[in-house]
Amino acid sequence: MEILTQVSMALQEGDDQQVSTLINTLLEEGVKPEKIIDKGLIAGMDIIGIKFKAHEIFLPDVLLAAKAMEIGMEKLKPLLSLSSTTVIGKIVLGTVHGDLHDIGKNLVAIMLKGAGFEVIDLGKNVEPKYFVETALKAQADIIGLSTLLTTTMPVMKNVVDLLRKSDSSRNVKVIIGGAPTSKEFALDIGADAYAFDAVSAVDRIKILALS
Amino acid sequence: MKNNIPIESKVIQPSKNAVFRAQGMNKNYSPSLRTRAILEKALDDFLVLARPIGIIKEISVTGFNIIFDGEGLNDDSAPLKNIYPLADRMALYAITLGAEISSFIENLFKNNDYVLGYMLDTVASLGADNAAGLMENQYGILNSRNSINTVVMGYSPGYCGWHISGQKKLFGQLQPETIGISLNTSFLMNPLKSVTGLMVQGHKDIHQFKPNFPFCRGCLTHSCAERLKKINYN
Repeated sequence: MEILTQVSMALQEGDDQQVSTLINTLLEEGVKPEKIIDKGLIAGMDIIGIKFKAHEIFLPDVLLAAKAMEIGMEKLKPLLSLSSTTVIGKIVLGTVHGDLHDIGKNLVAIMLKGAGFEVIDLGKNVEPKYFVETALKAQADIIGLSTLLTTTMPVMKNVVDLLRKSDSSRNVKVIIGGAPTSKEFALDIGADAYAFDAVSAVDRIKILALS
Repeated sequence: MKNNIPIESKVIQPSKNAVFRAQGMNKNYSPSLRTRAILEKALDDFLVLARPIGIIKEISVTGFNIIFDGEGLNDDSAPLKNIYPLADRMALYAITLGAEISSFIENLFKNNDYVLGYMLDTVASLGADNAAGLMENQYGILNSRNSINTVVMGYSPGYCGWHISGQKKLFGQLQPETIGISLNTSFLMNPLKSVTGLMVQGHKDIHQFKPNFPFCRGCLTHSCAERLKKINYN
C-alpha cells in the first residue's frame, strides 16, 4: 500500500503515532508536505466525514481522527511554504452570553481546525459585543454562535443585529448551532446558516467561506 | 422536611453500553479498542472526580401550584399540569455531581485532550441522570404504599412543556445552593452536571400521556418514551 494511503488509513483509525511515523518516512523520501496533507491527512478526514454522515462511525472515531490530523499538521506546518499556509477562512466561535455549555462548540472548533480554518475561540458566556468586536478586529469571515438553552437563543439575534449595524461587517457571515436552534430560527434572526452537528458545521462553513 | 442525601459515585456510574448508546452507537456497532480504552479511563475518572449529592423536600399539591406556575411561561398542554394534582405524594429534588468533574472536562478540552473530554462529558451526563433515577427509586421505596401500580416519576423544568424558568421558584423553595448548585439569569444550573425536578408518586395511570405535543418536536432526548415504557405505556 502506498505510504500516503497508509497515512490516510492510520488517521481514520485514530492512530496518531502511526501517522507521525509515516509522515517522517514520507519527508525522508522527499515528499512535499503539501502533498502529505492533501493526499494523506485531508483524504483521510474526508473519508471520516463521509462515514460519519452515513452513521458508519461515531463521534469518538471522528475525534480520534481529528487528533491524528492535529498531530500530523503540527509536524508539517513549519515545513509548508508561505503560499500554502493560507487558511481557508477565519472564524470567531463561542457559546452565547448566559450559557455555559461548550462541548458542541468545542467539537466544531476541533473539526474546523482540522479542515484548515483559523479559529478564534471566545469560549462560553460571550457577550454579543465581544463577538462583533473580535470579528471586526481580526477581520474574520464568519461568526459561529452556539447555545443549548432556549432562554439564550435571543442572544444570537442580538449578535446578528449588532453585527449588521456596523458598515464594516457586511461581509461577515453568521452561522448558528445547538440543540434548540433550527434552520428556521437561523432564517428568522437573519443568520446566514444553521448546522445540525459538528461535521455539518464544517460543510456549511466551507460554503460560507467560499461565498 | 428537607434532607441532604449522599450518593456513591460507584452506584451511579453508567455502563459502557449506556455510554456508547448515548453517543449514538447502535447495538451492532463495535467501538474500536482505542475508543474502549478511552471510555475505561473516563469511567475511572468519573469515580475519582464525581461528588454526587442530592437534596429532597416533600411538597403538597397546593405548595407546588405556585412553583409550577413559575414565571407563567409553561406550555398550556404540559402533561405535568394534570399529573401532579393526582399524586399520592411528591417531593422537590436536586442532585449534582459537584464542580470538580465539570472543571476537569473543561481543562481536558483546553489541553486538546478532547476525545477523553467528550467521553467523560457523556459519562458525567449519564451519571447525573442515574443519580436522579436513584433518588426516584429511593423515594418510591421509602413511601411505598405496597401497591404494584404505584410508581415514582420525575419531571424537570425545561422538559415536557414545563418551562425552564420554573427553576426560579423551584430553587426558592428547595434551596439547592446548600449542596452547591446555583442558578444563573438564563436559569442554567452551575455545576452543569446537576438535575432538579419534582418526583411524583402515584398510581401509574396518572403518569400516562402520549408524547405527541407540539413541544415534543423540538425535544432531542425523547426520554419520556423510555420512562413510559417502564410503566407499560406508549
